[in-house]
Amino acid sequence: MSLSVQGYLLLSAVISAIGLLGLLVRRNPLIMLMSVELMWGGGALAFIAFARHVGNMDGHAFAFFAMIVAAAEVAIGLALVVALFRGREAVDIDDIQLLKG
Amino acid sequence: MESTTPVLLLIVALPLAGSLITAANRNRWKEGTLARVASTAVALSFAATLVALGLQGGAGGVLRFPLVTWGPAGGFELSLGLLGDSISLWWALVVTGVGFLIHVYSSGYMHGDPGFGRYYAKLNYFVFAMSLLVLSDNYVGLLIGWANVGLASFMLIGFWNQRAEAAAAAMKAFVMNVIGEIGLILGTLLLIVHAGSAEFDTVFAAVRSAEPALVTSVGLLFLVAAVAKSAQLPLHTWLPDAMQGPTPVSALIHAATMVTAGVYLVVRSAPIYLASETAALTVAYVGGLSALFGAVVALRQPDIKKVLAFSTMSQVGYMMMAAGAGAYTAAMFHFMTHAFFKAALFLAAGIVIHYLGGEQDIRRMGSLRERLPVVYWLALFSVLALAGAPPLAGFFSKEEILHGVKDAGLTGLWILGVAVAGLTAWYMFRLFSLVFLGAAQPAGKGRREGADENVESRMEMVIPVGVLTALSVVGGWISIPGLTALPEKYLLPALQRVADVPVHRAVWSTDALLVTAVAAAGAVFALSLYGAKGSWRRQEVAARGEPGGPLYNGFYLDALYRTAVVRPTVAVSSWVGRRMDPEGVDGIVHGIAGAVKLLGRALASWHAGLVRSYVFTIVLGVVGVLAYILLAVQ
Amino acid sequence: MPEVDVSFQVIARALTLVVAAVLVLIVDLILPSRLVRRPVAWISALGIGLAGWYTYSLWVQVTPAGAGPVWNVTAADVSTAWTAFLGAISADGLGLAFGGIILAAALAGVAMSVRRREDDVSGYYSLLLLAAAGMMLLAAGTSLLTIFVSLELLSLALYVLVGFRRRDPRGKEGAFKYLILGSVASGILLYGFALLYGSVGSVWLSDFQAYWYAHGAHGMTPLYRAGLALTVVGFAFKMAVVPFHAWAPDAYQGAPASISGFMAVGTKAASLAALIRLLSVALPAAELGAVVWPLTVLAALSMFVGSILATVQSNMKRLMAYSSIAHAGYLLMALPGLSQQGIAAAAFYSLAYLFMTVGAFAIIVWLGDAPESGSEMARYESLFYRRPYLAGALTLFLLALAGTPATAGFVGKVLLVRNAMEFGGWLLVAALAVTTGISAYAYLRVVLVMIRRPAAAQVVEGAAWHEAAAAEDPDQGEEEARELGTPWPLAVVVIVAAAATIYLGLFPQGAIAALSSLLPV
Repeated sequence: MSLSVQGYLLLSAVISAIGLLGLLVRRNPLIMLMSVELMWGGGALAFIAFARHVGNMDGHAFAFFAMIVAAAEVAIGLALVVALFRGREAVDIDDIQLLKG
Repeated sequence: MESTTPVLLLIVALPLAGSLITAANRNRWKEGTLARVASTAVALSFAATLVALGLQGGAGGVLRFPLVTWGPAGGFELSLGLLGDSISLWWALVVTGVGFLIHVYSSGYMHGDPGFGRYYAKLNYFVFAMSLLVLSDNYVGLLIGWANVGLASFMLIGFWNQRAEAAAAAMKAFVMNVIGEIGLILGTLLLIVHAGSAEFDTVFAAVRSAEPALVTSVGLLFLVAAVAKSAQLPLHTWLPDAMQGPTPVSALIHAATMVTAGVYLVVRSAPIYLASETAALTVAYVGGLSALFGAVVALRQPDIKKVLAFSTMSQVGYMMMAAGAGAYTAAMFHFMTHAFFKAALFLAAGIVIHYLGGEQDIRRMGSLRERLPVVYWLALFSVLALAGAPPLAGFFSKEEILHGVKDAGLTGLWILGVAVAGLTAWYMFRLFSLVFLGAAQPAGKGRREGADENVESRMEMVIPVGVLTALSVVGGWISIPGLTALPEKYLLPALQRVADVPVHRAVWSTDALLVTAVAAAGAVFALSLYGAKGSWRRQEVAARGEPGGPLYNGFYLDALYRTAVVRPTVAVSSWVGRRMDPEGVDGIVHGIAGAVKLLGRALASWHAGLVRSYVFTIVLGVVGVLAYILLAVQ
Repeated sequence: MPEVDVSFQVIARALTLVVAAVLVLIVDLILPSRLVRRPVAWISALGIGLAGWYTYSLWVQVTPAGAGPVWNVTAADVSTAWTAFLGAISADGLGLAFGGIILAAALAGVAMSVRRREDDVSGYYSLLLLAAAGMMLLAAGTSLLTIFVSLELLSLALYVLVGFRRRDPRGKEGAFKYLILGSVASGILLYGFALLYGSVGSVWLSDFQAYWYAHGAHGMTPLYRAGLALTVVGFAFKMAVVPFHAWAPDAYQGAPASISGFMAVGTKAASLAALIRLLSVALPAAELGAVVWPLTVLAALSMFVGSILATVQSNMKRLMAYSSIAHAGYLLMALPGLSQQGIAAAAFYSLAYLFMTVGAFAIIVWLGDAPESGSEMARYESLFYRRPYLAGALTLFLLALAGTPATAGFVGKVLLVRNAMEFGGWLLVAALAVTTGISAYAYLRVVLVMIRRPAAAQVVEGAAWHEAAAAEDPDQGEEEARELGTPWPLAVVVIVAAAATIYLGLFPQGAIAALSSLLPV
């Protein structure tokens, strides 16, 4: 028996929440990027679950677009991480604090 | 009775043109050329005002000139235009007339200042803004003028901006001005929402049918604006600080014209205040208390300009009191006479300051009677006019105010007003005695480097003072009860056009004797205490020296008087002056500014640049918004 | 199944920008690198100009209506010529009005960038054009998918642009913070869209009306509410509304000033247009309060946080960032009632904000925007004596931002207050009144710094900027600015912005009428 839409929805919410939590507790920018990916993944999953539920293709298309955009986002993110932390010993998000106030 | 004429535009546009021309050529032209161009612009503006007066065709006549129409787009319809009724022209006459004299005077006072051209450009700009304020036919135009005179005042207070105090004073004036502006903006918006227009006539017609709560709110909001602009309690503290500006600026902006803009607002909004007794009474009491406060604090000020500044606050308080009591013509009449003698006094003070090379402490002056004989006589008449000596200008206008207040049944305020008349004479003669009478104090130290020995031969400075003093003497005769009563005849029809104004006829009454007696007593006390051999004079002048011999006093009542009146008054005065003023009222304003800054720093530490705390903030926000929208009760 | 109807005119506004972006890259390939700068700037400007022409021609066709397409697209409109891609993008007044503002900001961004010394000029311009294309699509998108993708298009381009300056750790830092926080916001938005899609069963805004028609008040299910809440948060983030604003100061300060000015105006205008469209489609008027009230609170918070923090800044770009946060709050005042008059007020204020902000940023660029100390306030000391016209213009823009009468900022505030009053937004009116005072202080501080002569600088206490100036060489940026000279496009931006700020303050009725006519209800 396949899972109901509620089950998928719950799963997607949990995945998103894990992503959000990761952003709050992890200080490594790479892991923060992964956490962002988790959040997006949760959203995409919710779209697909709903697409099954309502029975049209809109949600599938949306999930595809979300994945493509997420890939682009991570590419930029990684480039910035490299640029920022090149020449530093530890990779810690709390260390970048030139801009404040 | 209504006609359209571009002359109104000329009144406003000429000073603006002058300002632009002087600004553009400020580094190119010589001083004389700059002064001549700027003064001519204002003189022409004055001439245009006279022409408008002629075109007006009698007291009830109304001139108009449409400027801009903000079409009925977006449900928003506004037309900006100029209005020349008796009230507007009365104000414009004083603004351009006194403004012209002060322009002339400034050419001497500012002589040699590296910012000469800049000064004239700003002064012209002020006249433009002020005439726009008084000639607008709607609240939005008034607001535009209001904001621009604030800006001009800001620029001119901070004119000598290399002095940090001047910059700080300019800032203070501007911030307080903004507080007032907010009141004016909100009041105007309420009126626009209610009446669908900001044009005076439409608004006043709509006020008749408005809810009392709305009218009272508007009245109180306008009062906030008036209090800030006219340096009334509790937003007056910028005015003494504003004395950092050049003295002619103090005369024009901070005595004769701009500080009376609050009075103009109240008078112009007469239908609103007539419809709301609460608002009107608040205006009257704020004015009365400010009159008292200013007079009491002025009693002990050592700085010549600050005495005059507090005096201005007190006199504008009189006008507010009159306007609140419904004696609008009296308020406008006093505005005019006050403009004459207070401007004369400030300009005379400017001559004294120049003569002494920048000295402003009256305890270091004295004996100027011999050294500046012309200024002595001019100042004497102006002081008498301000103190309310008959038959000079101040006597008539003050009399009319007090009569109006009593007529309105505000006996408490009337008593207060009479007391203030006494205090006024007192502080003015203290000032006068310390500056002109007695010996030079302390010997030889009354002079400084850069002093201008020949200042009295500078005709461009002496003549304006002379003209203003002459006006202070004869200016009151236009309103001799039963004989001329010109303000009443000229101004009342303009008010009656829009509202049922109660008529306070100026009449002779025995009260005049009482007020004159009280003022005379104040003057006599001051002269005896601060005269050549007065004991208080010695004490004040020798602030650090030994106290004079015990109770050497030519005046027999002095001891009694001192314990019964002077001591308590002085105690209250210094208590009010020292404690309440800087720490209380001023403290609140500083406190607010400080609190905002502190809050800013606290908030800034939240923005410490930490990404994770930012994410946390976002999460909190999401939870909040989500919770509300999910749980919102429909 | 309606047939796919690509109406060229409808998408041409954004398409020309994309084409120009590609052309810029091709030109870079062909020409030797020292010759690239000029042609690339011209191509960018022409691309934006062409987009502007398409916007104008649509405008002319839409305006004389009443009969024209309603921006509240219904299913019946989908097959008309006014939409493209099955109704994913439409040519309604809302998108046109805000699109015009976005294009103007982009053009100003190009003009402000002509002095840049970066090697990768073409990359810079093409990203700027792509960001503008994203904004145009966001303002015109009528499907959740279009809205999402265009939002990401503009965000991705801006992430890179913020960190575009080489050897500038601040830019990289600002960019990375912006990217992380922006991705979080996009993730939240994505999830919100998923929930909306789950409730309605479609990503086309035209189907939302059918949904409400079918369900009535019962349509407000918990799922729908949650989706709406998350969506609103996503847009609030892009507009830099408190508490989703923290990225803005860092990103604005780290970015080149030309980009800060462009994104301040463009992102806000585009997000606001999308938010207005979504709210007006996704909610019947009776349910509007549920979403508008929390936004009202956030708007008031934004005004306070933005203006209070602006008073303690020592960096001009950062000050402008906090100013933009406060202005996000002002713009949200259009939401209560969501009436035509309110939306016209928001559009007018966006237009005013365009000129005031772009003008201020142009002067920041003009005075030299070196990475380290370029935009520190200490460098503006006694500017009135060195560069009186620039100082005067900056004063004008700051006064306009503070809402001084006879400037565009004042008229905009009047319109917004009027709308808020009509629909009971008293909290907003009170917040606007108080924060106008606070922000007047913040802006006047800058003016005072410019008026003060250097000698007096030491005396004034609490001059944090002075310490900052002592730490660094204050003339470094100035030198750079002199060295580069003043290109005419920069002067044109300042002059046009100043003229428009005053013109709109004195004669706003034309603009108000034009904007209102675009927004039939």
